[in-house]
Amino acid sequence: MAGEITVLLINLLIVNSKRQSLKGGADISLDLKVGNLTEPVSNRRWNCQEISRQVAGRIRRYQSEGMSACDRVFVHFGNRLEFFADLLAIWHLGGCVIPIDARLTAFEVEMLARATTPRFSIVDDTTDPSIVNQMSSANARVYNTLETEAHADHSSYRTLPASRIRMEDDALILFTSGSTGGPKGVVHTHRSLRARWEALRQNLGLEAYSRTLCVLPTHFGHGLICNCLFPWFSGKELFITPPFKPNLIMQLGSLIDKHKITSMSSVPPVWQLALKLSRPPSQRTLERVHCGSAPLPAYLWKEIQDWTGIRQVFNTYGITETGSWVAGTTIADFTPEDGLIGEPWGALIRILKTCDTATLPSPDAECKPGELGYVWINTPALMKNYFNRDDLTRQVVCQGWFVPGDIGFLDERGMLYLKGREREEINKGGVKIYPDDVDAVAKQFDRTTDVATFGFDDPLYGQDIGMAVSLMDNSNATIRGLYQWMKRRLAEHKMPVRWYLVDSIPRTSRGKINRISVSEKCTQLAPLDLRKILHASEDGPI
Amino acid sequence: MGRFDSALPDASSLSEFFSFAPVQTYRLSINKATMDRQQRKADLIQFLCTIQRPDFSIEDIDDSQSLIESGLIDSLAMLQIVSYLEETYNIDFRERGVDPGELSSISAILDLIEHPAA
Repeated sequence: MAGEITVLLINLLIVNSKRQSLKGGADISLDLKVGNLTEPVSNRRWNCQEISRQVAGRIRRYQSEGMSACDRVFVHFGNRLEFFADLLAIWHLGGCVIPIDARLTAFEVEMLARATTPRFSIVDDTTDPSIVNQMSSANARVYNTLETEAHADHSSYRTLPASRIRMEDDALILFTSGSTGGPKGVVHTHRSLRARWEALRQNLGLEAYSRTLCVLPTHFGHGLICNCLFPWFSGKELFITPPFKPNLIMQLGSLIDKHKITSMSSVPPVWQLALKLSRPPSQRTLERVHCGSAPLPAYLWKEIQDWTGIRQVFNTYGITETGSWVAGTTIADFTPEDGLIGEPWGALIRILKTCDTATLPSPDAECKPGELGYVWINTPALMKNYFNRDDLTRQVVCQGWFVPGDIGFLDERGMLYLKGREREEINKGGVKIYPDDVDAVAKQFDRTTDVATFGFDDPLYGQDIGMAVSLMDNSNATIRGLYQWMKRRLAEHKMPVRWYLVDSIPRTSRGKINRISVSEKCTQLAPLDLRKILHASEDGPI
Repeated sequence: MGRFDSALPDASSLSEFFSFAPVQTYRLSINKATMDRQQRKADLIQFLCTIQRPDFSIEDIDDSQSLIESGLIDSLAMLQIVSYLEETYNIDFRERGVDPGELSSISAILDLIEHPAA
């Protein structure tokens, strides 16, 4: 039995573009094997044998339903054992997994489905019926992951079809924006993902990841590719919790002790909560902590070191397009500093005076050490493209170099520091929200004349969402109508929390919204008392 | 309710699931300590109105109902409640630790204010 399981896992994970067997001289040096999976909250645990059984059952089921190579598959849930079994099964059949944020509205899911035309949609018992209906309407075949037990018997693994994974095929599409129109899906191939994991092994080693905790959502690159799959595909045990549940974070120290956690990743708001409400771990099992997806202030960094009792708290720089973690603080000796990232992991990083990707800049565009400029990244883990959006791809990629829109410098040692960004995204606790996505929904409301969404500083999230809106009339009824309109179409975390009524939206001479000016203008105004308006009975003007 | 919410143990079983830091110290300002429960409740509700989802009505929620499960507040708003309690009642959560159940409802929070060492 053990041999069969090994064969299955190898078939799932070790294949190359020519479909050679491992013994047939595959050119893949990265040895991938999965470790055990545990849900600390439910106390469910799958060992490798059970994982193989679960994956095999899904392969049989999905194959019998007609899943084939290059099919795109929405997976509407995450952070549970079944998610990982589905991922492996879909990959085995040659499919491409598209993890969907379970918080998205049916409207947003419809936009993503229109853009990617998935053939299959895998749901669980928490998936909203409106999403299921939406996917059925989009002609996707919908299956509940929990109904695979009948297929997960112990009959021979040898009856499974051969793995259809090819290195250049699409493996993952991760949507970063555009859920309300013009979705931007980052496409990673099996090759780019494996390049990321190989780079992380080389730069981080594996020892610290023997028992890795993930409290981050599995629908975005940081949580999925790096926090989960990097250690798990290295044979390490993965402990997966519901994403960012405050009542879990309040018990983080105990959770680390109870499960002898050796590593975890995080975003700064996790620590805002844990440092204040959770007692530190006391068993000294923790060896390494990553913190990324949002700026990590030096004071918070030091507090995390104090709380965890370890020095290896790495400020980690990652972008979905680079397979997430692309640099971090693995230097031998460092003191937390605002903006300090550290050294590249499996990437070349240059700082240039330009962000123009039309042509590769000349060598004299390179900034001197300490000089601020635009970050350019070259990594074999770079995404293939934005799905069906070559226009957007060209804006950020030039001859293998990726320009994320971050501004920083390299010091004399070659250490990367980040000092700002030129993107318009709002970083709400590590979750990126694109103002255009919110604007697009508000604009579609028939009483809206103009709108501009912007970020403002927030002590908990780092940034939160404000919205300046100009309406045909400022009555309570119109504002209520706009609120309900937006609520039906936007995931809750994208809803603006501060609303401002304005006569006009400041624009540049080229007609582009000047969001900084909008934000400055709104700081002079009082936000609407939405609670009062939504509960008011009269419909008079504000 | 989502799967993970339903999968989560309730507050009492969470106490068994995780070990909690022993209660060590607390401070209570004299002015606030002498307030009666009604006044503290009125203050708390006034505060909750500033962090609630705008389309929910706090009047529709009874004192023992879960603030999160009722939809009144986002789960992350617990941190704002903690800040409120720290600033208003000088409760030092870093010292005493916290059971999520202590912040789950209006009555639980009032109990916490009245018996911060419990």
